[in-house]
Amino acid sequence: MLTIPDPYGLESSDALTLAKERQLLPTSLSSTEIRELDSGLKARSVFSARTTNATYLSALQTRVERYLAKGYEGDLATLRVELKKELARAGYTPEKGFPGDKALGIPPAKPGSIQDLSSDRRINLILRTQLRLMTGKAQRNAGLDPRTLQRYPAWELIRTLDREVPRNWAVRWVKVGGTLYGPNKNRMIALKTDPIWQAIGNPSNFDDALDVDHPPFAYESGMGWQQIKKAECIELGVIIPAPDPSPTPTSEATPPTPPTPEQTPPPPPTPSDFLPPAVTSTDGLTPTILARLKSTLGTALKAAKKITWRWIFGQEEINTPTPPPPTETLDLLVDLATAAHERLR
Amino acid sequence: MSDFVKIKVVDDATPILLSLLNTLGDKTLLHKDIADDMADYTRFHIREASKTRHKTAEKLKSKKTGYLSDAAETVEATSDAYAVIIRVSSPIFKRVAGPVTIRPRGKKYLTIPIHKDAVGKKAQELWWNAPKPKGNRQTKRRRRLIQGLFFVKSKKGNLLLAKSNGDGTITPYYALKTSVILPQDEGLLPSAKQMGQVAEKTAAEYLEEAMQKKGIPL
Repeated sequence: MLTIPDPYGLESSDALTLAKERQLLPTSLSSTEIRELDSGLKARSVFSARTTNATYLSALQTRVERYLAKGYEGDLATLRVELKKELARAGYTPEKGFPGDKALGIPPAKPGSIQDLSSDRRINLILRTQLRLMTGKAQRNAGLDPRTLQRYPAWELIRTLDREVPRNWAVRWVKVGGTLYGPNKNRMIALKTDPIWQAIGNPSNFDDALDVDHPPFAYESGMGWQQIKKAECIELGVIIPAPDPSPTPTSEATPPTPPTPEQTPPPPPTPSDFLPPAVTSTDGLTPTILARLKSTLGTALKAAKKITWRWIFGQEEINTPTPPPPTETLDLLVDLATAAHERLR
Repeated sequence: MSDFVKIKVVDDATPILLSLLNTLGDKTLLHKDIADDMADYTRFHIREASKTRHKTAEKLKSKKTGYLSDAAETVEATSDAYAVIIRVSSPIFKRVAGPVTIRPRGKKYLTIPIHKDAVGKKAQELWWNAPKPKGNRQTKRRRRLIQGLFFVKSKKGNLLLAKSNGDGTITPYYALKTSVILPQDEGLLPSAKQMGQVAEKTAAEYLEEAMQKKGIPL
């Protein structure tokens, strides 16, 4: 069955659920300073550089959800107009920011620039990045399902959106230790469990990275994933198949070689793979950033050097989602499949 | 969820799939494989379709909105022992089933962009982006009319939203319509036949894998 949402959009999808699970994180930090925050904190939060107003962030979260649902009035232009109205209601101006921003040391923004929260560029960037982040995360979670992982052990990094000046992702790929596959050595493929996915989205490697291990990896990257089947992985050399255990004259003569990392089956995903921990350490943050976080979050930070959602929002910690149910083994169905095979003969 | 389009993929040309489905007791795992493959195929199909579907942007030499590319990334699949469901997110896919008539809701006209600066923008955004007028109230009103958008009727009788260039000429930005019919576009999504072929290929692979595990020669 193929279903298409009604004009009000999807009421539920994995990406939408992930988007709704997040909490608001008003902050006076700039995008450079935000890079220093823990990736777990960022993954669980709705935030935007120099956006201190929680009411606006809440409005932003609602619009991101509507953009994901893609229903009636869920288009970019409508949402942009609504967010501009929300900013005006909150007393925002590019020159002065939100009321009280000056005391937090937020510099004025040039109208129309990316620093101006009310500019088309900024709002488009936020909505588009959020959509790609949530759908990328949903694709990652679906791709790590044990059965899917067995059939599609690798992802290929591909361009899904044209860019006027595309960044050279092959160079990035090689820089962080990736191998290029295919006859033209231009396909960026790696096992789903390969640390390269974290490396290409790591801000310490690339300034524009979003600190995620799934598409879009970087701001306005235009990059996405496509799953690669096991047979193609073997054909391309991404996976080296394990030698046939049955004794043959050649295998008797050749001593067994130790398995390469590619031969080792990838470990099944754990619940922590799907969501970062609810407790985040503030160790490693500079005193300036800690002070600015504190000024925005009030009494959230305590001497224990930990940020928890309970402290920040006065709520219980988010429950870790239950892991996906174990997939049944094929053995149970083999007899039935054999019967089907016999019937087809 | 109240879906407005439901396409049931039934293909008599896939006897292997039908035989397998009828024989298997628990179809959960097979459905899971089909769901994965169909979602991948649908996402790929929409990504490809998005490359050839921005006529307005190309005609007006403006930036592409990326609307369909975004929709491709929202494809998700779920399955259980009884069904495979592929979810696509965007009402644009209603065009697969037939022509779609769009009418304004709560407003009088639809604004159809006819200028590159108007693509992907609401009319009120162009108004806002106009330089702020100075002076007294009357002057403000007059300048807004000059700097912002205003209604005008073309020689052919079409209603337009246009901006004055300040030299007696105008630049039309939007055509105003009470309704627009978008023609059917079956190619936005894979056809039922293509879906059936994907499912059949998956079923064959599933069968092969099951028999290999059992040591049955293929």
